Amino acid sequence: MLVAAEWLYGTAFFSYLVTSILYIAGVTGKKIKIENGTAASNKWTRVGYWVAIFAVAVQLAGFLARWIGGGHAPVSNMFEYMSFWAWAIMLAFVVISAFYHFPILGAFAAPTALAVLGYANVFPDVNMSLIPALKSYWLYIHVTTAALGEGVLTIAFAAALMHLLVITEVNMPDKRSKWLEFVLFLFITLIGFVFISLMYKVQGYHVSDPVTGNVYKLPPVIGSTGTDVGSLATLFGIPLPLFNVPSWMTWGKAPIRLNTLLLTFVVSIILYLVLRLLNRKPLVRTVSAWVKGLDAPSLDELSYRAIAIGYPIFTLGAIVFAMIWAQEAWGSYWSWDPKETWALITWLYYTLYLHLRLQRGWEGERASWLAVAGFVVILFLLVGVNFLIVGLHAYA
Amino acid sequence: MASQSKVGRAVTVTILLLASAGIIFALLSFNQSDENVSQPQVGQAAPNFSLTNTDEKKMSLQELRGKVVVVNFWGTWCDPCREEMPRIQLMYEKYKDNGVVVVGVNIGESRVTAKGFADRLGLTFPIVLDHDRSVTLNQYKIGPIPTSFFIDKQGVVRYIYTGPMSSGYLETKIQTLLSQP
Amino acid sequence: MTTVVRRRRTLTTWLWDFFASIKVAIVIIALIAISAVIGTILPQENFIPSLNPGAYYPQTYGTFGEIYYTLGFSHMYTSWWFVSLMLLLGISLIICSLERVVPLYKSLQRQQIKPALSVIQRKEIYVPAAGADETAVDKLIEELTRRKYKVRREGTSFMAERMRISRFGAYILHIGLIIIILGALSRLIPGWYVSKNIWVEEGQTVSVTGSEFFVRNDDFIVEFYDDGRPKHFETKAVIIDGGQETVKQSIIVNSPLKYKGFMLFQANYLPPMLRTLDLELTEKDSKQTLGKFTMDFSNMQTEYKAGEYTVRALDYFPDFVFGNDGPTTRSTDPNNPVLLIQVEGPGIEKPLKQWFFPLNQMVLEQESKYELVPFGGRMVETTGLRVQKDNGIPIVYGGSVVVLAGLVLVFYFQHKRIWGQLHDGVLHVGAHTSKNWFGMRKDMEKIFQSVGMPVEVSLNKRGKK
Repeated sequence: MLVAAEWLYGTAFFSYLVTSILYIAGVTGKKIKIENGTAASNKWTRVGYWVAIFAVAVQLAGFLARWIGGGHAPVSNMFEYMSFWAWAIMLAFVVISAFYHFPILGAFAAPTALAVLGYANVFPDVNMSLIPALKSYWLYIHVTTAALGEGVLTIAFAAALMHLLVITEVNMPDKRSKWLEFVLFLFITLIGFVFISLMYKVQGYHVSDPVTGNVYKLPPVIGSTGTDVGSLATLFGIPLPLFNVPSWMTWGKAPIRLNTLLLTFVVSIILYLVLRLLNRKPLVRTVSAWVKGLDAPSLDELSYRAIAIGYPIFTLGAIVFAMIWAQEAWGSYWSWDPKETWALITWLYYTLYLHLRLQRGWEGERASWLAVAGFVVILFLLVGVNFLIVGLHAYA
Repeated sequence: MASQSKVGRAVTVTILLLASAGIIFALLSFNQSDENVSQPQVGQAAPNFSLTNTDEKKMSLQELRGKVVVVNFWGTWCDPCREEMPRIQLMYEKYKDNGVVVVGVNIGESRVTAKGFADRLGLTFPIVLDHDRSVTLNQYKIGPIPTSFFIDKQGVVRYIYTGPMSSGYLETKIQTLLSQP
Repeated sequence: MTTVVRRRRTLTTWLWDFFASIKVAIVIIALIAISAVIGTILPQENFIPSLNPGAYYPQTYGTFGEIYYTLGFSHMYTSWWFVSLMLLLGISLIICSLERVVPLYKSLQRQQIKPALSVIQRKEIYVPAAGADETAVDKLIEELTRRKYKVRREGTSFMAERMRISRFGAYILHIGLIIIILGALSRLIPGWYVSKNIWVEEGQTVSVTGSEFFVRNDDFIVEFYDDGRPKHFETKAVIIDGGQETVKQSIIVNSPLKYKGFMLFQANYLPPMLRTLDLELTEKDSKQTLGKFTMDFSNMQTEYKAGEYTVRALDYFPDFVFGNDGPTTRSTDPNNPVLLIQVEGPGIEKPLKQWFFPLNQMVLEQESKYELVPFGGRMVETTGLRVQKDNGIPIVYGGSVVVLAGLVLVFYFQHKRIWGQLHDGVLHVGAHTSKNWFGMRKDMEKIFQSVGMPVEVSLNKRGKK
């Protein structure tokens, strides 16, 4: 069963990739007619949509197979959780596309889901038996509902980004187009991280530091305090680490994390520069050409609708069910654990969005920027907290 | 705007603010009454305790009022505690006739262990047993040991030191406190 | 309001207007969010492995940690100003809601069944159906009633309304939040909230903090996976209330024991530890037993009677190790107990000191003629239970239900209104909705369809949003 699950997850991953390619090919192939503010679908995007549905179905099958094979719902480690989030994004895209006809949305939503699924694969995909605190149905309910809410909110991000690309005059080198370019760069950063992590994971790379016992899964450019420069490994003949972390950064796995951040940053810059050179103009101009002519208010509305649908689901899953689970497992419905606190912060953030939009008239551009930044908040909730903050939460 | 009476609004606002103030006050006193009270600070009266010593006699801090008291929290498993003991013993012998008492508070160990330790190191100052650790944890909030409290003749904490003390430190502090009324 | 009036505002009016402002509410929410972010930069005090935060933060995180601690960020969520922000949010929620819900309620109560025709004509959705008569009005009303609209009629005019309550969704949601805040604050009521860890050794009976009953640990079970991660913890617990065994239940993680508003959670455990040993005092040469006694390692005595003999404990090292300056102990737990003893009794003129190793039978040449031989004993495991009582939980859960109901009303339902008036054979129908104009348009088309008056419904400009 677990083998089948692995195979199904692999197929899903491949289908995400195909969907993304089809959609991007569809919008770049100049075959999409944009008339009266709406885009007609073409062969590419129609096939893309069916592949997306296939991907959702296959991953659901994989999810169930893994559940049966592993004996517990596969949402109990980072690989499983991130995969589920990617699935939720894809599902939200498929469902919302059925109601709102925006084939171009796929060119943004599918790559996002693909990046998230890629990120999931950075983590070990072993089926772990559960520690006692995770053996609870409330946990499954909490985690899946929260992921669904986050998936819908991610669609809001994609629509808001499209909206910004439509309304921004990208040929002007002003602040707005610079910020949009920066958003694209951030996306490349995510891809860059997934890329190097997967590359070294496939090789089974790991270097352990004899001084601290830390295990590096990426070339150790930065060493812990006390580790001799050049004593750990080499990269292209350069002895590593090149330098040590500042002496105050000694706790826990801080050096490893700093190392990962640095490498991600370097790889992302290289990746960006390569794309930028190939493109010969800011990336934002190319991407905005895909969406030029779309009806901006409809995209704004779509983004808002996605938040209006996602917010109650997020409240239910990430706050209410989380409280019930915490009550059952730890004996206290709220203990200000970093993950819990960040769920609240995310909730407050979208609360602000709704009040600003509905009560203060923040529609259009400002609302879209808020929705785009909201994705960063969600990313921090799901990735940053685990990566940067040491908490008591279940997933290590 | 005229849908609610001015008086109603005034009453509502006042009640809400008063209630909030009340809640904040309750919260602050709640935190205080909780175990969150901090270590006795320099300048505060040293909390009194009454424990039995290794000879099974009751001993309280209160009855040492009028003397300079050094309360030293320690355990036999703690190496730095063992390291500073001979110096404390030395100072105790030197100043005990001038009105200085050292009280060693053993944390949670048996009488046999504490007494055996004292005999091996030749400690003659009184050692009391905080068997259930209530004095250590609840009254004095001790973190790392050894921790020593220097209490003046009025029963007020004057110095707190965490870690093994040097003879010089012990002697200057004891002399300072002895020179004061 | 003129400036003259504004200048005369009393303090309470000013405060009311302050809290009734959405801007202020947004600022309060933002401040709470920012404070919460700051509170997650470093672990909060209740998560650090130290009893002395004042020393821990500078030691672990350097200068930054010291500043963080000094500013009180290390106990952010219980600080008076964070709680104050929460309370300000509560006040803002109440006043913002009151300020808006009363006028909304009144205006919805005062709706006219028969507004001026021009009002209908200016609705975002407006359909003039020609060739209609009173029966058409009847049929339309019937159809609307079937579709769960509440219809009020005045001659040949009518007004139909659905899901008016969705307009109040936001306020219901706010009420839910206020209930949650009150539920969380109920912890301040004396006796409503208990949270304490207790340790219960196997066989031991311990008072449950804050209650009048006791808990006994009959057995503690711990299982591990092969890789060393914990698999299963279980305490076989018995509640003793008023001298009676009232409840017998296994406590496992995620499945607490509930009794009289208290919950006992499996939270922790200590590995097996030597508790008692049954010892025989024997004469080495003759193997003759001189006496028996039991030694309790958690309560070491200075002397034990063994028949006519006395075994005196001179020194005791619970966790023996030979250090740089002689024998010493690593901890207070009897992991490797070693005793210095001497045997006194008939025929012993000069008692000899001797070492006693209860667990490791060290071969040591000792002059003494006596030895202690263990023949029984008891190892115990200790379970760590979390005692939790929170009478506010039902309030918080209830508040959550109200919040969710409010959210569903706000975001998944809509308030729809339809007006109709018959003038000279033309039925003028106007419609308004709080959101989802597209759906409303489809609704109208279906309604007309089913009464046999197919029309095409389009939106006026205002409704396109």
